[in-house]
Amino acid sequence: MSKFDAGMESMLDTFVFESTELLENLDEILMRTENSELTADDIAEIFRVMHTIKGSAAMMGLKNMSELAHAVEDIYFVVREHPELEFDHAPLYEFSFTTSDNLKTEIENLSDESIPLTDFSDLVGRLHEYAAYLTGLSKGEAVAAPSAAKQEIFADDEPEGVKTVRVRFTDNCLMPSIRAMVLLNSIGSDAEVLSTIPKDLEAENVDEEIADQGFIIKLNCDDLSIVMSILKDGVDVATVEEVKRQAPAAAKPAETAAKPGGSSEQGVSTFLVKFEEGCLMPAIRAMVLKNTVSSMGEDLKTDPADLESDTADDDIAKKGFRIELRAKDPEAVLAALKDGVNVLSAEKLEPAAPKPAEESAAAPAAAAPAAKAQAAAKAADTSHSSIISVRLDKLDRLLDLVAEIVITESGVTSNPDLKNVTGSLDRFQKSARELKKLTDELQDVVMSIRMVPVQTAFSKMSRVVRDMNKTLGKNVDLVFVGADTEADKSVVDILGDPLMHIVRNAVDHGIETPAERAAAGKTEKPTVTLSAGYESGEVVISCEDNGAGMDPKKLLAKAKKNGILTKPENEYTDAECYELIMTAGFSTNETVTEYSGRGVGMDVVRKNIEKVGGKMSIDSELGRGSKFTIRIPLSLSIIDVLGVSANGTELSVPVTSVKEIFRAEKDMLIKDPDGTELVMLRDKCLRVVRLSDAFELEGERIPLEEGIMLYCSEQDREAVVFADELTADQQVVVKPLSLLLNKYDLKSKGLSGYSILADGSITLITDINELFIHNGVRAAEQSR
Amino acid sequence: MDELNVKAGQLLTFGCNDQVYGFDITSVTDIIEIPEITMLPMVADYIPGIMNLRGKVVPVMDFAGRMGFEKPEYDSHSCIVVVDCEGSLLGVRVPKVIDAEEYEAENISDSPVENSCIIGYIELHGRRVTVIDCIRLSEKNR
Repeated sequence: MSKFDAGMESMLDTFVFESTELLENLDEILMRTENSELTADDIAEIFRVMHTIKGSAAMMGLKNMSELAHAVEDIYFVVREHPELEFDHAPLYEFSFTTSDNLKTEIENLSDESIPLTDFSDLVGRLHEYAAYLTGLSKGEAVAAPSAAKQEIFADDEPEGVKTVRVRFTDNCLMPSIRAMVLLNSIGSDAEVLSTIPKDLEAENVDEEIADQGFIIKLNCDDLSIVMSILKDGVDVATVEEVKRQAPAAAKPAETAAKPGGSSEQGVSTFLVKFEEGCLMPAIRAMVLKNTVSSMGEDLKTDPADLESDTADDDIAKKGFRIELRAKDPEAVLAALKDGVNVLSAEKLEPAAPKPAEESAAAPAAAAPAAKAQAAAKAADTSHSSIISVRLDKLDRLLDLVAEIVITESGVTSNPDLKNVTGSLDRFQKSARELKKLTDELQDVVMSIRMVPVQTAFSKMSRVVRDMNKTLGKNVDLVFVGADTEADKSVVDILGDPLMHIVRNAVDHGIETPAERAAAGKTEKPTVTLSAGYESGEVVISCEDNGAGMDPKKLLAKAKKNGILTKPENEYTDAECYELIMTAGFSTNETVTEYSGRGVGMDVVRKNIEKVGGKMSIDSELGRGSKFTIRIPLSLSIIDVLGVSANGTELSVPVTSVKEIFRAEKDMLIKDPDGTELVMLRDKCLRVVRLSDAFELEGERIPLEEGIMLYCSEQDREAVVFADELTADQQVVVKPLSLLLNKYDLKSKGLSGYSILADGSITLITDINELFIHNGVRAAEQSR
Repeated sequence: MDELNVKAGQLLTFGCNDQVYGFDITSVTDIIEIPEITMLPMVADYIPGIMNLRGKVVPVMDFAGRMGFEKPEYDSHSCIVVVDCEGSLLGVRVPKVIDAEEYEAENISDSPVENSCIIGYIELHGRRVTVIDCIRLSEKNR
């Protein structure tokens, strides 16, 4: 039995993709705002996310998800409607995160028929309670601040003709809410009750509220007096009065002119112009606009009236610039205004009824941020729509095709037949150059499409650390370095899970508790640093913490106890000891927490990374922290390489490995008794690794001083790589070695892959680190 | 209607050292002229190198070398038969492609040799065709 409505299977992919995006967006907002301010924009965005998920889940027939999203939407509805509400945000975030997690898990499990739909009713119940609590809080606020309450009585969009009646019950009335309910029933036949305040007569505290503020009924009726008399006859009713909207108060006459509505005078159009935030002198701009439109109509009035006053700039920045004039063609005026320099928006205001007075001073000011919020939301919208998702295989195909086009292009433009053409080829050559430029650019663009910054994998970790900080109270800082390092999309996707494990381990096992840190005299903030970069054709991701570090002896003892040692204890080096924690069935943590399991984590992590051709290494210093490093081949990454040739074979050395290029003089060369060739570079004696020997390339061994020396260093090994000559300095896309070549184990011999160059030829890409290891270049002493 | 017999398949037959060999045509993706082959070091002698097949790097295997024959003459009839070995492409250099010929799998006499890249033998048009298993040939899982 399918989880969702039949016929919706085809939509499943889209639903999963979109919802996942939305939830990530949600997490991002929550993370960003948790420790800062939750702005109206953010609330609106969260609301939008929940609303969309609710809608699409309902469309898929996933009632449970739809209800859950609805419950959260309700909460944010209250928050949105009552921006003045002050409350503890922690539970709000907790609920939001929980919901987000639940929805994510549910979405992940959607395609698996064996997992039933989760029943969220418990969570939904709690969310409803919280929503009710917030609603109650907003009402409570109303009691405390009656002015705000008055504002609530009249909704801004309330249609005319709605009558408002306030009923007050006698002081000794015990259950005014019951009386109120009876009253509502009694007027049912004579009036249409639209709403009441308080809304929910069965809610708690409702009696007090009615006693305090009275019971307010909004209704539509033909004859209000009949209704009034019915109400007056009610039990325990003290007074019944009709409440009218208050006219604009005279208290702030100066401000009434600035009311947001347009002038109601016949034939006069009112325009409101808002300038961009960065506009330095809006008053000057306003004056220019005033001059522009002055010819288009009569009776020009502006607000602020005096554009040369000192406050004009501030006023315009806050409230916008209003122009009133009797124009023949208001649309033309509007268009002229919109064309103005630095104008953000210009709109024609329709004549509007005066608003309730209390807030009239604040209203225009409030309108400005609202407009800003709208603009921001629009900007956010465009950023959403400027990203589309494409199937990876289509992209790969595109990449291959572009490579072919580049090759064919050079085949056409340097076609041998052209030599036989008599006459001028000038125009042909010109077009050919143009074509080459275009294809080059096309290639660059297409190559960059698949690349995404590792940021996407990193930013998910902030969430992990945040959650753990909450529960473990370690207050760990997460720092990103090189998050803009680009790697192939698939690599970044693969990184997600291993990183999560490693970061969790770092925070849980690595970082000490605040008390332990204090005892160890550590003053720096507990920090986990995630960094990314390239090293010899690989993406290197490391996670470093400044926590307790690991004690090799302890690890060894533990491993011995667990019986996972494979050789005598004293033969283990420190590095090997650290690697023990990546062995199945190893855990140094005495207690198993929610975040770190029983040592199944790290060995799974290692396996997953090795599965995609990556490597993982661990370094640690007791008391100072540990560092986990993942190296994953860039399956489709672009790297800078130096092209060299050795005995006629084209090879590429990643630029990142090369420290220096030089030619050796005779007196720099040394040959030790075993025949090993060495070179003295300043005060260093380095091994010479001939590429032709390392790769078993047949041909003549040229004397060392005739070729080119590349002083390379990779991790802790360094040596000089010797090639015949330097041929190119270029960017290449690394393609991994074909699986069919696995049995030759080329990777460990120093070949990491190959790449097709623009002319269609193939270059082999070397992995200097593996080359050094394979050729016995000794690692430098660990200098820790 | 015989042509629509479900059991019938086609063999791409090619000649090498006076013998006729065949790949099941469903595993063949391309038959191309011999392009420039880039030498790949540290591999078996019968892997002359790698080639660029429309933007993909494909290893090339010399069929005669793989079968342990002497190096044959390559001329303008020689080509590379690209076969798909469970997702990885392999270019097989052969001296001469003959034809695509219909065959019925049940007529193949299975080779009794274990782990051989030869599936078996079949008589087609009066000569014996050796049917090759391209995945075994590619040594993919070794």
